[in-house]
This record gives sequence, structure tokens and C-alpha cells, in this order.
Amino acid sequence: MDESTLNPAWMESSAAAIGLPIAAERVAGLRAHLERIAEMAAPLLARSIPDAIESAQVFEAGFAELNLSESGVLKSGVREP
Amino acid sequence: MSPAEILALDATAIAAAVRSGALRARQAVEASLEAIRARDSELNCFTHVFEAEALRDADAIDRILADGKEPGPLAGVPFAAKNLFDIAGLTTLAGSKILAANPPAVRDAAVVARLKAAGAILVGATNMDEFAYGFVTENAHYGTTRNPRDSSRVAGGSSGGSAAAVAAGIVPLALGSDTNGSIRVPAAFCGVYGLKATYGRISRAGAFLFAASFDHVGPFARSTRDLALAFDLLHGPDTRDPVCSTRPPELVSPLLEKGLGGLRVAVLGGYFARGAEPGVFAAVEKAARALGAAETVELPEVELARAAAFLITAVEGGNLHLDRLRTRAADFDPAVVDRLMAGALIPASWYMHAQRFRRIFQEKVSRIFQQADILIAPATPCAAIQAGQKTISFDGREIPARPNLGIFTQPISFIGLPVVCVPVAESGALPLGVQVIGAPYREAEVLRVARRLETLMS
Repeated sequence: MDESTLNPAWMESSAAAIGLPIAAERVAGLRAHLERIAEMAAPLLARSIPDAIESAQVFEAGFAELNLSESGVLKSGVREP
Repeated sequence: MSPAEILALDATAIAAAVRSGALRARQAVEASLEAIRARDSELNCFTHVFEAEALRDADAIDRILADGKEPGPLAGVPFAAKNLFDIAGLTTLAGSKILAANPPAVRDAAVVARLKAAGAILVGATNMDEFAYGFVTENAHYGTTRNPRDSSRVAGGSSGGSAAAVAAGIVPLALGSDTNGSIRVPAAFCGVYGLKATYGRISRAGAFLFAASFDHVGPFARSTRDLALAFDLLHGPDTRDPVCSTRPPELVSPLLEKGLGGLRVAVLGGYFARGAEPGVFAAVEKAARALGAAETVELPEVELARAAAFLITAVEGGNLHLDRLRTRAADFDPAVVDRLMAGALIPASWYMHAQRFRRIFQEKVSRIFQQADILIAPATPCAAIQAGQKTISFDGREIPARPNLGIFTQPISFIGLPVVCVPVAESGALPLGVQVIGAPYREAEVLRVARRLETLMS
């Protein structure tokens, strides 16, 4: 995780970019939450994901329709990356 | 039938008594309203009680029966609904002060309407964590919902008011929502049954959402047959909910007594077998022994699944409330506002990475279901915590309570699997819950196993 992610300046500029005012008394708590999120996210973000894997536009819980493979090849042979 | 006898019945038994003429719907509703008056000042399950409306609706059911007409399968059954469901004529709070100024809802949420259409009678709206972002139902605006088993403890959340109302015997049936565990955690803490069906199986129309990618709605009850009946009535297509499945309804009640019938039951190991109080694993072992589940399987990359669910929830919640965070930050529950703000600031690339990982995890778990039909796992890492308790400790580690009570539920709802939370407890101890998990759209199998467990445990 890049240290700049947790830099107060980053937090303030990101909040400004989306028009979110942060009251002074909230800065410490917000920073603590962002640190926790960044810590949790780190191993996930380090996990490579093949180009062919896309998120579901409308998530369908069923397994039968799945035709993905992490190798990047769609099992049903629709396309390859 | 005395009020105490009525309150001891499950929904199926109340409806049968009403339909047979052994009990009037008005008696059932009066017993429920009296229980609210007697116990809710201590428990704080309800944020609104529909006394006059419930009695009026009960009288209508009694008139239907007197006229020899069909009153519905839940005739005269009192129920409650988490206050994030639209109820015509009442402002939908979702546990917040900010929404309290909104006009009243003009129509009932789909699930409320479906229960009413089946003859059930809404007696109240229940307390919850603000905007469903919590596992404790300690609400800065509407107070803490207490656990009926030990009122020094929380009921769990975010659907704590609904779970506690069922556990206290105030109503036999209640509606909640589950994004990361908000049905299963309070069900486990309060010692009642909770059903989170497959994602998209039950319409969320008219529910105030939290993190739409994961939001489910479902029932609490004191028996598996009530959960099955509620599922039969609640599920099915609904064009008002964009993620609601178009699959035709599949009734589970007729299949409930089929038993295990060849179903392969396995226990989830690895991640699900560490990081909790010993009693939690003893409860899982007890359930596994009862079901003859000898095999252990592990879900791959489950820590990443939990992290991805955490990220997606934070981002979608932060985005949903961004306008309110900009203008009304001081009016949020202090326990919620910083988390929502943090979610609004998470980079888009993190969110997309988490959503794409969701597909990978889905595919990997699908392979696990080639080895087993049903998976057993703990519902929470501990029994109900004390009100105001900030941390939980096990394995020599002290960690924040609020975000970690859902460590075992979050990876399951991440890919929308159907789950029944079954209460399992030693005599005299606080209840603990076990998750009975199935493959997508296999609610019948999940409920059959939960029913078998109910029989073996009673």
C-alpha cells in the first residue's frame, strides 16, 4: 500500500474532489477508518486478476451460468483474451 | 387460549388455530400488542407500533373467516418489519434521524405487502443500526435493542429489533435485511432462525438499500417451518427490483420433512475454524455430529473475499449517502458517519478490483459444491456481546467488535449463497448460531437440513 494513500493531504484532496467537507473533529476518525480499509485491501489489491474477468453488471448468484475460468479462457469457448 | 399460550406458538400454529376457529385473529394481535407494552420499554425492539391498524386488520381477518372466505396461509399472524421497509403511511427511517423528515411511504415494500396478502398482520416497525451499517443495533437516535436472553447484551444487528422481537415471543415472524450478515448475526445472538435466501431470490422493492451488490431481505422465525412458509410466500419475480430473479417460485414447505436424503454435508474449515471463541466451534461440532458431517472442506481465498466484501460495502454505502454526507454529516449516527465517509473516498480501482474478484471467488466456490451439497459454518465469532462493548478478544488478540462480528457471514453473502442460521446452544448458555449454507437457489436443501438440525437439537 502506497503511503500516500493514507497521507492527510491525499484524504483532503480526495474529499475536495468529490465535494465532501470534512470537519476538523472528524479527521482522526476518518483517517483511522481509511487505514483499516487500506490494510484490509492490501492483499486483495496485490492479487492479480486476469483481463478476462469482468464484474457482473447485475450479479447473478447461480453457478450453472458461470463460464469463467481464471486462466482467462471462457470454458464455453466464447472467446479468449 | 391465554396470551402466554398464544405467544408461545409459531406462525404456522397461530394461523392454523385462527383458520380452525380455535383462536380469533384479534386475540393473537392483542396478545402481541400486550407483549410489546410489557417488554418493549426494556428491550427497545420497536420504533413504531401500529396498534389501531393491527386491531382493524385483525378484525378484517375474523370477518373474512366468519364469511367462510379464504383468509390466507398466515391468517391472523402478527409480524414486525425492520424500519427500512416502506410501510404505507409511515416514514421509512432506515434507523436514521435524517430520513425522519421525509414524507410517509405511499405503498408497502414488496415483502410487507406479500405477508399482508397472506393474512399476516403488521404490528410494528423495528429498530436497526443506522442505514444498516452495523452488527449491534446500538442506534444513537433510537437507542440500543437489548437481547431478550440477557438484556445487558446487544441483540446483534443490523436487524436487531426484528430478531429480538421474535426471540422475546412478541411476534412469531419478522422481516429483516442482510447485506453482510444482518439477519444471521442477530439471529445467532438472539437464538432464533433466520433465512438469507439466494441473492435476488426475494424482492427488495421498497426496502431502503445499503450496498446494493449484497443487499438481501428475509425472515426471522422460531421454527424452520415458519421460515419455509415465509420463503414460499416471499420469493419470486418482481419487476420493481432490478436484481430480482426471474426464476419461477419453487415451494420448499412440501419438501421440508424429506430429511437429509443423500445430501452431502461438510464442515467449513480453515478460515471458518479459527479466530473465534471455543464455544463457537463446539456449536459447529455439535451440529456437524448431529448431521453426520465428517468431511471438512475449505473455501479458497476466503480472507480476500471478506476484504472485497468490506470494500464494496464501504464504497456503495458511501456513494449512496454522499449527498447527505456533504450536507448533513452531523446528523448521522457517530458510529456510522466516518465509515461512510471513508467509503466515499476509496479509489474506484479498488472497488472494481473487488468486484472482479467476486467473480473469481464465485467460480472457485462453485467447485466446492461439487464435493458437498451443504456447508456448515459458525455464524458469529462469539455469543452476544455486552451493550457498549467496543472490542472482542480471542487467540490473544483484541479486535474492534463492530466490524468483526460478521467475519463468518460476510464471505457467504459476498456471492449470494442461501443460508439458514440455526440456533445451537448448550443448556443455560447464551445462544450461538450455525450457518447452514447451500448452492445458489437450493433453498429447499438448506431448509431441509436446517429442519433436520432443529429436530435433532430439540
